[in-house]
Amino acid sequence: MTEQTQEFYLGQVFDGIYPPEAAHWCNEGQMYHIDEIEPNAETGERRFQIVENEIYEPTEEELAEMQAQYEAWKQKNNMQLEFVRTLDLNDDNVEYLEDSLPYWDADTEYREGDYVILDGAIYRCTIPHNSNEATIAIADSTIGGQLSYIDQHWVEIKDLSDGSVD
Amino acid sequence: MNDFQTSLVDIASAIRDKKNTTENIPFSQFAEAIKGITEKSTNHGSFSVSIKANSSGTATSSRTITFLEPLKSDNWQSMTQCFDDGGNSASKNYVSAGIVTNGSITKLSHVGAIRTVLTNISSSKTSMTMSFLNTASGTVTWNAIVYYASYDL
Repeated sequence: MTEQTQEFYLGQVFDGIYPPEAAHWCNEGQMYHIDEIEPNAETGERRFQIVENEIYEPTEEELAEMQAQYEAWKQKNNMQLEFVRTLDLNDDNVEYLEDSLPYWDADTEYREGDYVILDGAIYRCTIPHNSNEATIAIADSTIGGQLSYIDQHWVEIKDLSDGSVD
Repeated sequence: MNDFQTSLVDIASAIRDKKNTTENIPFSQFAEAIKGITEKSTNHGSFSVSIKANSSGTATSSRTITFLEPLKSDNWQSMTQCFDDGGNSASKNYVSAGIVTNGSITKLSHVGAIRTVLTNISSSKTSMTMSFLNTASGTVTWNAIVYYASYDL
């Protein structure tokens, strides 16, 4: 005995109620959803129809507002939003880097692509900014030479930086 | 406030209190709290959303969910929360929450950073659409879990 499958399609109308399978089908495909339409004129029964999803695109004004809110939030909070974590170091790496690299003073100007070591991990600067604390930092132009000791990790840094997860 | 809204506020407050630390919010606790909310609702679920920012620093995504059963009364609500557990980023604990009551937004708020957020919600008795924005600079991907529920009041 074969399992019977139900087919759904764009524009399909359901009288009274739609089956949960139809909702599943819409949610799985992510192209359609179900709207309620005018009830049956004679019986007053509810009716539903499969329709296309609308793609929401924020307006330029909305984007500008969000960006402004984000900039205001950054000013207000001293979190390290400007960095993205790219590599966890082992103890030997941390010791080597702490011994070989200078501290950058507070108010250092970070450029996009600079790296900083914090709590045993390397973070990449994604937003140019002035740091508010002294820390071990590595300018983008010098990282290759400074980290030649851990060539294997250098490769990892590049990979993570390209597709890092926030 | 009803139970759903009270729970939303409790969860948001717990996350807000931790936003200036590097400590991760235990994801299991958040999931348990949401489970308590959604057990009261016929229509609920979760999905993941991923947005990769482009070189201009902004990227959007939207998702429409059809409820397994249409809402019945003329007095109803839909709610959603999106939660970012931090991933590989130095910044953590972004969360947005939204409530739609009888078709109109009654709450849309963000706790923690607002780099990656729920920017818009709309809902009817049969579905809910959630829109997201990633304002990160560079090709940084934002991943989050989104919870949603709808219910007759």
